Amino acid sequence: MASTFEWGMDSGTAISSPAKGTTRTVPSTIDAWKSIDDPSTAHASAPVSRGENSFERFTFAKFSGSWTSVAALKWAHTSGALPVGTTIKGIVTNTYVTPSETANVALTTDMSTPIAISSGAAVLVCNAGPEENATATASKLSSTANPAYSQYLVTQLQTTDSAEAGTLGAMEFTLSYDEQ
Amino acid sequence: MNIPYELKFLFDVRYLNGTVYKQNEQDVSERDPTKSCYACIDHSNIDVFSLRGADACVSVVPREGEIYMNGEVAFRIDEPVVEVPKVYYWRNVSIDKNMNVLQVIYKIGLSFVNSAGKQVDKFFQLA
Repeated sequence: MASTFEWGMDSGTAISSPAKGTTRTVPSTIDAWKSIDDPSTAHASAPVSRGENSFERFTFAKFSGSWTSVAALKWAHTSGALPVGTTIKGIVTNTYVTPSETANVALTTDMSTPIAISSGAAVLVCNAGPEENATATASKLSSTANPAYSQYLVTQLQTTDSAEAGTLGAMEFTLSYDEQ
Repeated sequence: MNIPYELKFLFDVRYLNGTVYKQNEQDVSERDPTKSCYACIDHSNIDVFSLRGADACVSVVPREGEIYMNGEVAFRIDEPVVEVPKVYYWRNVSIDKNMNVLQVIYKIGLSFVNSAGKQVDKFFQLA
């Protein structure tokens, strides 16, 4: 009904201009920070070790189906606490880089603490893909073109040597949008 | 994968000539399957835009600048406007990374430009 919403993710070496991942997976069904950059390996087979970081995840939303306009996208960590010694860093961007386990200093937002979605990061709407070189003009705050995509919603789990061992608890990362 | 939610409130539009257009449950335009029913509305000739659910009905009368909640006036524009107000209608959807729809909020009201040139949106939210 209404819009058809799918999560997607890019992975692999950066290719093309503007850059995107070698592999684009839509829909993307495995959602976890892992020690491998691929869309299919289960988290249990590639956990992040204490003192190391996950590969960045380049997630995005794809809208298709039937809708007239999509607008006012926001993105946030909305519930679930992180254990000691772990942080989630993130950024909303059109820039894809080849994922790695190195702490990515370009991820300037500390998303470790849950916030209300109304205070989430603004996300632009792209028509060519999440890599589209969009700037915050009115035409990119909403879109009537179908399909449409969000920008990349990039996150990385970063840990210290003091991180507690075990599995992360349940967390919600939420995308909010308006549609007509 | 479709968004796993059904429309709790459906809109209908009564035009100035008395004809009525109703949103279908699939919310797919009869003219263009890539568009929703909202794209079929002739906004220049709306008499009443209503959003109806099992226990609430909000109606907007743009030319009168009024919003009705279950038949009672709930808001009336009390300042000069530079043009006929427009219907304000959006559905806000929150969805998590596991494809769980966390919340759908229907926003319905009026959008107008006041005499100072400022755009004002007055709307009610239904969940």
